[in-house]
Amino acid sequence: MSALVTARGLALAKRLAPLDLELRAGELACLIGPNGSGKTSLLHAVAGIGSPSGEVRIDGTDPWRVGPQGLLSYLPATREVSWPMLARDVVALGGASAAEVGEAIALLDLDALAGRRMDRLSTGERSRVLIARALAGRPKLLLLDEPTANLDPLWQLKLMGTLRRLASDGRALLVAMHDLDLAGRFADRLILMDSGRVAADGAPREVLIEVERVFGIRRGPEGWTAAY
Amino acid sequence: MRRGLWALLCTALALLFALSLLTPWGALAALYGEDRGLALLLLQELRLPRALLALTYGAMLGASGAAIQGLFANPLASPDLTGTTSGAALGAVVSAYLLGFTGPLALSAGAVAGALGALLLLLALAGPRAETATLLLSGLAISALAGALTTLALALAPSPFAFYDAYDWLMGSLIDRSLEQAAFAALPALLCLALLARMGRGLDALTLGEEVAQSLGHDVRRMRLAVVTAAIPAGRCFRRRRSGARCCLPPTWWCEAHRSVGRCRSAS
Repeated sequence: MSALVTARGLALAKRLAPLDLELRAGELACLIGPNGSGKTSLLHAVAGIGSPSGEVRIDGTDPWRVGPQGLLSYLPATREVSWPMLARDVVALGGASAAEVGEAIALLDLDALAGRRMDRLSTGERSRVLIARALAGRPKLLLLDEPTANLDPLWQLKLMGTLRRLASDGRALLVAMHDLDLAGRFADRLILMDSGRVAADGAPREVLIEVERVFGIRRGPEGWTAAY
Repeated sequence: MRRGLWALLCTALALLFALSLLTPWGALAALYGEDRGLALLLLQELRLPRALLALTYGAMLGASGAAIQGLFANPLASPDLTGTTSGAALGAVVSAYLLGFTGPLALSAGAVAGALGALLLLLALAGPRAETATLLLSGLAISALAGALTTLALALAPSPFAFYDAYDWLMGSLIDRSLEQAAFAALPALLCLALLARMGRGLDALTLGEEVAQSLGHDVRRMRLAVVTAAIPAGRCFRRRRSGARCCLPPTWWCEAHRSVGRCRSAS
């Protein structure tokens, strides 16, 4: 299957070394790596944040030139909202239609929270609202930074299942995560980042072998433990 | 829901505008009385320009305040934070007291030049990246500097009553305006309102942070510059609202300023 997303010579000054990247439709790729390894920088570069160099094409279209609407959507790692807006209004901030907003609200099970103010929601609930904002508008490429952070274990599993289904609908997803078990279980592909470069890229089973070298952890009978 | 809210706001605005023109109700009664011509003249020449100016300045201050608050993601932010309002006051004071240019255009030009100078200094200090925190701190520094220089300019002014005159002038009011002057003031305000309205979506997106706004295709750097630039007329409005009629009507202002030192030729 041909690539839905292609990036050539993608780089961010002092943060991300030039790299090429391809994502197929239906692919859920997880970015893993230690703190400061370049996961967020790669998401920023693809989204056109921070004046990246290189080029990105989504389904043959340049999102930096024509605008991201319908092409890509980005969820930052921070869950801050400056104003006490209603959750429903936050989901609509990206310019999605009323139907798309309703669909995203239903997808994240937010019907009961949609009429509440953001500052009166828990961090986890706020996360779900912001994830719904990123999903609304049906973008072809979803760039999510730590989407499972702040979510309870059940919602972490539900969200990964939802992302899996969204990928099956023909989208491409690039998701930065720290939870290696969740990433290994749900992703089609892992991209291991180290010092602003791609250290390993492939099927989860192959990439997780490299984790000990890059992270300094190894999987033992009690789960992940420090290697040194 | 949102359309209904807009309709309600517009209706309330129209109602209040009409009330400001026609209250006390004697004015309305006079329109249908014997002195209909005089009442109409008073309405057109005194009340309408004043109400239009108040509406224009209020809209401009409201819009620029909302834009600046959106930009700095802080409900306490105001156009003063960019330093342009203090720059406008400094420009007008220097123009009037040190350079002696007190004509209507000269005072306006002095205020605009002061605001523009403050803006250029702000952009120079904030640098090409123009980050929000740097803009905020630079604006505060410029505001303090311009305030101090305004005080210095008044202290150095030849007139011993400069402080009194200036603060009397800075308090200001909207009286004694003509429709032409109201139109002259409204033009830049309306242009800025249109500019700010165009940036509404980008400013909304800033609610979720600069990264999200950028990822949604908004050029945050350009937006910062546009909002800060739009604060120039806001600064002028601010000063003019406080400086009021005398800024727009220099002969009156000039006369009052000189009456206090007994040199007003037309005082009698």
